[in-house]
Amino acid sequence: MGQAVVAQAQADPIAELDQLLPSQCYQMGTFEQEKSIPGLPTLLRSSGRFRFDCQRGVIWLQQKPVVDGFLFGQDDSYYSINAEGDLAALEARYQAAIGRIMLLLFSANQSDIQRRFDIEQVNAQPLTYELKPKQRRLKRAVQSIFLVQMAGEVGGEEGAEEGSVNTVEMSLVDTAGQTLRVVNRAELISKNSAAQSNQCVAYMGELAATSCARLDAVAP
Amino acid sequence: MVNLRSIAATLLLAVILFSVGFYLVRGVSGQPWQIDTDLRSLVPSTPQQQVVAKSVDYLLADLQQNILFLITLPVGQDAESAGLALTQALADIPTLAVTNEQQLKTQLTNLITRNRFYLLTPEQRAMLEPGSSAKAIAQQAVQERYALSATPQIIPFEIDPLGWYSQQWFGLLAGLQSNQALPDHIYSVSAQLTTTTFGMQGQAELLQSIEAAEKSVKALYPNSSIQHSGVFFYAAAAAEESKRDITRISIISGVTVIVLLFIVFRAFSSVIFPLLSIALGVAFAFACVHIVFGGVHILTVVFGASLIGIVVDYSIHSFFHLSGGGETRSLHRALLLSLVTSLVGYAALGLSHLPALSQVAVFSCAGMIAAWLLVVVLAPGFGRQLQLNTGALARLQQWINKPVLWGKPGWLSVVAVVCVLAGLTLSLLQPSNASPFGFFKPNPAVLAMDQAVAKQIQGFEPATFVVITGRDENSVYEQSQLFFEQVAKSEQLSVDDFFSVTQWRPSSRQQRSDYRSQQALYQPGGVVEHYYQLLGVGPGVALAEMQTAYREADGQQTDTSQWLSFFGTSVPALWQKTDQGLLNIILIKQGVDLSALQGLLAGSGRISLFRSIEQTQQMLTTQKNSASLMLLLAYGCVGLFLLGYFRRFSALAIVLIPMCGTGLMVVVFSLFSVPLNLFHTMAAFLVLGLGLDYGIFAYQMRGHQRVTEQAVIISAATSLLSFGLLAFSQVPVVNSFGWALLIANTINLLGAIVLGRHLPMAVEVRAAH
Repeated sequence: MGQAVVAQAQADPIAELDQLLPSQCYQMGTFEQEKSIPGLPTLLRSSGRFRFDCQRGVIWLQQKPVVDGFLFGQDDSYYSINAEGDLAALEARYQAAIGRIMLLLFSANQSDIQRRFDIEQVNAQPLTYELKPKQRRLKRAVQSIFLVQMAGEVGGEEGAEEGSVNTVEMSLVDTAGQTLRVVNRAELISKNSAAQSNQCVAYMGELAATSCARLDAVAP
Repeated sequence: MVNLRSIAATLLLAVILFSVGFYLVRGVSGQPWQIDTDLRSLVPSTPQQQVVAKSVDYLLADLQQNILFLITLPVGQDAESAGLALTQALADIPTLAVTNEQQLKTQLTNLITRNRFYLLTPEQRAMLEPGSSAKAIAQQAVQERYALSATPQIIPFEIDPLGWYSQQWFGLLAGLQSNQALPDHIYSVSAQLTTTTFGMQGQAELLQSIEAAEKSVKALYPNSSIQHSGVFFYAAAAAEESKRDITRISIISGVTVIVLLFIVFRAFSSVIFPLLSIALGVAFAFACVHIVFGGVHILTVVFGASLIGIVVDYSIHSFFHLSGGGETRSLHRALLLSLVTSLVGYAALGLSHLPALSQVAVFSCAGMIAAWLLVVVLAPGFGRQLQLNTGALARLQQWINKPVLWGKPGWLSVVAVVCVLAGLTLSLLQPSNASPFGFFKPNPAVLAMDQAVAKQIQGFEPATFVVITGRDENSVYEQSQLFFEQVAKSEQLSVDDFFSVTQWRPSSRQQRSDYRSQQALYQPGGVVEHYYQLLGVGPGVALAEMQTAYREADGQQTDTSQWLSFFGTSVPALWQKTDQGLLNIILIKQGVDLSALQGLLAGSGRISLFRSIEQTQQMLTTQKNSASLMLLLAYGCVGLFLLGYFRRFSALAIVLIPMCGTGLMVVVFSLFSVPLNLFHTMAAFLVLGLGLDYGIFAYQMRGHQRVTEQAVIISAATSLLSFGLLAFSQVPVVNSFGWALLIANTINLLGAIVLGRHLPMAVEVRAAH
């Protein structure tokens, strides 16, 4: 069965990729992150919440063990979020590339993803895809990204309004060999941007108030 | 004169042995011939006392070794793979050092690893200010460490647990990479020539290799286009044009000389002998220049081709006189005088500070001496067997008779003096052209590609810099900081428009301060210890090792030169030590308002705007003025010499010939609005040599007026042909020489004919008195 799936996937390398990409345009959820740094004998674990608006951008707010985050707008604006929830505009190319990658994956625009990555299905069970950047700006940030479907986990418990939600594990290997494993779990699906905006602070927390307002200000 | 001939025979033997020995040694050792094509030989060499100019010259030479390639794919595609393929293809060329991005990153890693205890970013410096809490700093570092978008750990965690040195790595890299600013569909590859002494053959080989590399990449990426830019391509195109000039001048000049000689003498020996003298002259000249200068400049070879017209004169004069049964004594005296005056003319070129012209002087003088020796020794044997066939020449002489005899000596002298005065006046009034651009005509295709590359990459001004001088590093850094403060205050300028080593490398004073600040990181209870605690891991031996490394680094900081040495050829020579201290050269981005910059720097003693073009222009103007004075001096000296030698005032008429030629040359240029340049002035020295040559024969051999005139006509015809061909050269310098000599030497010929016809009368009249 597994072999048959791989054979089918080879015929169309991205046949099942959409199963790993968000299908909803307005979603909020949680993430768990594990960072492995060569030379550091422990994994750095953290967690937080995200908001994705396909027209406006993404807020990525880490809440534990330390508060930190970023906002990447569809208008290419890029901000860091500090422990007080304040925003600071950034121009750092590496960080911007990470933000761009997150936005790209959340957007689930297959043609855009195909244009920017070489995509290969590396495993059928669990369904795993490897994405290698084609563009040099993205290459400077990551060597490859692995998208893994988390079996049996379905989100949406906390007031999902409509549509299906999914849980995906994303592993980023950066240019220095550092590995970042992120598990995204979409929990709140909104009908539109306005509906999501209304729920932003309530879901993301008070620390995200400035970020929510800033993302709402991004012209769609 | 027997003595002269025997001395000449000894010298000729020495010349032949020297030449044969030189070519044998070169042949056996298999050393390649060095034909230089360096365009900088066309601008004056900088006087030693100008320290700044010397240093900038060094930088210019360094920058001129650079080549930039751009590979472009259709918009929307990433050109990196194609760029890397081009990098790979170019890396296989031995005379090209391709700046590999990976190599640059490794150099940067080595630099930071070696100097890490002396480096802090302004933000890190602020965090470590006295009174700050080690725990708070550690907390912030941990926060950054957890972030999804934390800076990658480029410098190993074991020596950079906070990630601070990795942040510096990214900051420094951004200042060095050109590809960062390019859109994704364009990729740039930088390379440097590995040698400064490119021979013409080496240049052609490199050009072929580059074309082959580009072709191989285009085969892999058919929708790509590759453009390149660099001084090398201009030099290669100029060399190719010069090569075409040499071929044209040599063939036309050589064939015409042969045909002329054959028509006049109708004997193979009359052709073989001059060819032999040309061959010996060129071979000896080539050997001498190679020994003196270590190679031959392409411009020398172009001028050398015109030497045929001068060298063959000795054979022509000898044949004409000897075939008519003339005696050798007066002939040899005239030949000697002719050689000396020509040598004076050509040797004067060596007085210029233009390396290419110095070579032309040595080449021409050596060639003339060798050919002259051969003619003096062997011509009597050849010449007496020849029969003159001067039917056509006689008809030409009859035709010339008419206009020339219109004038009387007095009137002609007045006309000549008027010409001289008109030329002198106009040369003072007419604007001169001292722009170095006038000496170099860029190949249109190369220029178009260069401009296309410049559109994509906003490069730095190639020959304009801000130069800061100081006794020591501290003063240079202080002045540099002052400069950037002034720029920051200016409305028209931006700090980002400049690249300075001082902006990129902290001063030694700052580095020492940063070293002391970093004690807060490594001391017991310091930032790193807190950091490990916050991460929940014990530092183990790592912290102890870091503390030891920190202590051992005390006093081990690198100076600016050592710092730059980490990058090899990847970074130009912007920081230089001179006899008077140190020099910081700041690069200026193209498009910066230079007049605003000049205004900003007015009155700043140690900070100056160095414009290489202006310096060169100034030097060329000085050269032209001093050359003009020397020309007048040369005329004065020659006049006195001739007066003393012939002991007759009429001998001064000889000097009047080239004076008149030069004067009319200036008049003609003035009529056609051609501004005078240094090369016109230098050509005037040759006009002096050639005019004296014809005049001396006309004067010395006036007893054989008809034959002498014929010899002068044939001799001038060959010279005019050679120089006439120079006038149609694509190389502006050669072209200036060619036109100047074509016009002035025509007047020389007419002057010599007039002198030859009127002189006997004048001398007789004077004798009767």
